[in-house]
Amino acid sequence: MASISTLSVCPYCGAGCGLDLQVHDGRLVGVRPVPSHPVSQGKLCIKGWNANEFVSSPERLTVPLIRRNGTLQPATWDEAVSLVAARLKAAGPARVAALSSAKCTNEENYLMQKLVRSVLGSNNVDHCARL
Amino acid sequence: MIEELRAHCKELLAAGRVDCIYGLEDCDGACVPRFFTTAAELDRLVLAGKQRLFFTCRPADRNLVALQQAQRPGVRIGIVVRGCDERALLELAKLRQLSLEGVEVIGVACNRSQAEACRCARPYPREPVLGEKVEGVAEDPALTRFRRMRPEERLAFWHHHLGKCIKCYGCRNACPLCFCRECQMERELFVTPGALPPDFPLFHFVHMMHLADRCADCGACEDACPMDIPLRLLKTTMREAVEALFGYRPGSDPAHRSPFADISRGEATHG
Repeated sequence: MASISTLSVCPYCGAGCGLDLQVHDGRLVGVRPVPSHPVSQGKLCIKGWNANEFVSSPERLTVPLIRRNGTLQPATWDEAVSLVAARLKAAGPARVAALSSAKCTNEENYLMQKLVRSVLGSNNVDHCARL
Repeated sequence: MIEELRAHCKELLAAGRVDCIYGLEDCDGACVPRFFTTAAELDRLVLAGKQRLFFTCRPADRNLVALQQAQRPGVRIGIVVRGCDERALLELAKLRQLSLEGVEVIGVACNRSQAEACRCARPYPREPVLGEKVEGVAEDPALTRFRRMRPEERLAFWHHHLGKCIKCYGCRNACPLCFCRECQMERELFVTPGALPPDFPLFHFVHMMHLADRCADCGACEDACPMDIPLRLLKTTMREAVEALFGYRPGSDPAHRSPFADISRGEATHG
């Protein structure tokens, strides 16, 4: 039996609590808090305590889905991105808004607003924490 | 201190007195419990204040010592324990969650400042191999304040604190003495699903009652609480009641059985 601990950061919200991921025999099986972590100081909420569950959830999306004839069907990333680009172009700046997330990094959020303002030409930028 | 501890463990391994050492490993600045089997690995052995040694609660927190003992019958394990770890170890053994057979206890006494940081009354194992036994904190200041309260003030105190609970189950998950496969804190009979704060006071009292005769007073429950609920007060007052009634102190004597374990045989004496 190989047991490994890997330090990570909780992906659920913007707080960024420390996670100690429990890996047994190559499978992520659990999460523990990290007492020495400067943000969470050994504490987690219930989502953090169970953050391992979605990794192996059968409901997790592993490929992009495109709705065709009313049903979601697996697609390639190229197809998905091309479709999104075409739709955004067709909609135009006034009919587009983007919601970013507190659980993204600063850099990702910067890129998101840059894309919306400079490329799409819209000021409709917000984030999920204000919903 | 840590160098002495590593040297001691390396000696035990080299002399063939143990097959492996169970202790805390420094892992990118955090500490995790693991088995050490070589001298080189033992260079990463550490002692870390708030990190606990035993996790037994959830499927992921498989009791590593018990697993090792099941997989390698007769294995001799050296376990590096502080006072709190040893109390948990002894109670886990009494509750048949692991075996003390073949276990070499490597006791380390905490110093006074460590004891104060943990508000620990017994900051030492029974026979420390390293460090001197220092007197523990006589009484948690929070407990002293609590004792002065009148009953109605205590009720208001608990309503305030338990009302903050976000039901993360951290107190239970972090507890080294929680190992029931079916947790009563998840039973709809006691705890309404989806309701916050959880039912007063059942949610917290289930945990308190289950730990009445086994709590190691390690403080893991309180340390894990994101809402700063003074959970140790609950456990300590309960432990005191058990000690006063039955003369039982968890984690102090491996031969002393819990009075609750004997109730079914009609041996318990009240008062």
